[in-house]
Amino acid sequence: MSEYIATIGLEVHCELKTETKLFCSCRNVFGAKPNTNTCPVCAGHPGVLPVLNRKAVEYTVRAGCAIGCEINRFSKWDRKNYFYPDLPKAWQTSQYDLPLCIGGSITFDVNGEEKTVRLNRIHLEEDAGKLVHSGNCTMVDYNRCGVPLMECVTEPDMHSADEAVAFLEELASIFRYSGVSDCRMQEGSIRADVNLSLSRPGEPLGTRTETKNLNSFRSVRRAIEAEIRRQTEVLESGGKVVQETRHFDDNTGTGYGMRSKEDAQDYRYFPEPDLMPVVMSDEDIARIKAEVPELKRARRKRYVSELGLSDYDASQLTSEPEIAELFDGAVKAGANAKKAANYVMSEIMRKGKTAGEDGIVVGVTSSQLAELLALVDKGEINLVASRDVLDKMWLNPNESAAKAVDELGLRQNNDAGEIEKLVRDIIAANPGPANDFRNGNEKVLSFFVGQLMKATKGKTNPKIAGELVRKLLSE
Amino acid sequence: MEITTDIIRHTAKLSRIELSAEEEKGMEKHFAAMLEQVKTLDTFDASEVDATAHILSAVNVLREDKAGEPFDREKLLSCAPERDEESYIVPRVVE
Repeated sequence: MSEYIATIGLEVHCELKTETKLFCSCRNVFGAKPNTNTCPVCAGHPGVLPVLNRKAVEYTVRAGCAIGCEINRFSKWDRKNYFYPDLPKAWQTSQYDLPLCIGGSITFDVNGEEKTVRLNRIHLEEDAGKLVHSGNCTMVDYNRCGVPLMECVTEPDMHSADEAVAFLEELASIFRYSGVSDCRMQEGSIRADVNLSLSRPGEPLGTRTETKNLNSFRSVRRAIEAEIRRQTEVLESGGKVVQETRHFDDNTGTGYGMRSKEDAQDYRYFPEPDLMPVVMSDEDIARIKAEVPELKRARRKRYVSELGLSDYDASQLTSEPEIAELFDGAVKAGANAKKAANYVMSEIMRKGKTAGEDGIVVGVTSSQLAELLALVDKGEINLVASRDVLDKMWLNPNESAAKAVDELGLRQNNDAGEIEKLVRDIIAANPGPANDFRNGNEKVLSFFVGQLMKATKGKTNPKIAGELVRKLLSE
Repeated sequence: MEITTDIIRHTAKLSRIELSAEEEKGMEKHFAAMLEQVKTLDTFDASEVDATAHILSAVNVLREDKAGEPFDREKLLSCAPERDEESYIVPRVVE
């Protein structure tokens, strides 16, 4: 193994899920036809004026509150200048010296150990457009141009690909729980740049490289591993690591340098004259802070310590904020925590899985779920029948479980007198198996229960049925 | 600050402006004169003036997060020197 220690810092870009763009009222949606969500402002026409989206500011501050950042009472906007066709104005409106959020830290588990990574800052900026290369030309789509983008810069507190990926997962979960971003990898709504250097223990940090635009946790892992290998080889063969920007090719699994040092970017930041500064009062910050819900890590711990769930179940239930909300709501509405946990993990999560996409569809409300579980608990329907009820309520928040049960005719027959008569009829019609049971063949019990279920179309409580059959056969 | 040919070349490169050797020489004089002019500001006593981020005093000029009417794509695309039905077309760029 190498004696070098890697030191890693990340810059994470995350699109906010506002309805509109940062500086104009064009829609912020993924997957629209090219250039259909553009206007003179985001297409960079001369003479236009940007107007800041209030929600984008509040979301960034909310994210900062969730991470324990200090919120700047006064923050401002700056122009970052560079020429590239994905940026029609030839500058990106960003924040340079006075970002919205400063500092903060995230604690997470990696390989069973607790790890804390400090943040340097979170600032808000606009995303760039999309380029599609074809033959000798490049097609430009400005739909993404101007979409609000948070940039989170960490301190160089990570030392392995495991730590970096665990950090990213925790960060993404915080943003998703806070409701500020979907962090959908497939849609490029969260992307990371990796700064990495090697050094020997006790020695100053080595020269770092920056690998840009990694758009999946998997490529972050692979890019870090490849860059550690490459820098180790350079150093061990007596060479020097060159400070450079690198690109990682997911297909070949290797990185390559993009610009040499002499071409290093000179962004000539200067204050944006078209936008006024943002001033936050203590009341504003307190109000936004109150919008931060209980986050994944805290919930997971609470499910174990207060609700008595296993750590595995707690981690399953907190994997998606929608699932955690549903579960919490059902428990608050009176559902038994363990039964609700099992039901959510088996039925709801199976049903809500979306093919090939991030995230999950939760098609019932917590009160619908609590009501359904109560009906199962009281024996009015059995678990198998509950699936039909779930189907009927799915994506139909006005349907009550009790009403669905009646409409589907699923209510279990718990009237002992009526069932008893049916059982007696079945026994009388099957004297052979009845004698077998009396002669000690326990197996035929299930035959009688099956017959009863058939006669009642599955609407008999199986526990009551079993007991009753046994009692009447033994008479 | 001494204006060197390197500074002129760097600035020209950042601005995507091509200068001949003669023009570079001429620019040195212009740059020096401009900096001299700006130096006038140093004579102003700013010790009593608060640092400012903007010349206007307004803050928090914000709009609500509500979508407006979509803008006609054709109108925007028609301003481009080269385009197809739905995109702008530029010479192939790869970083």
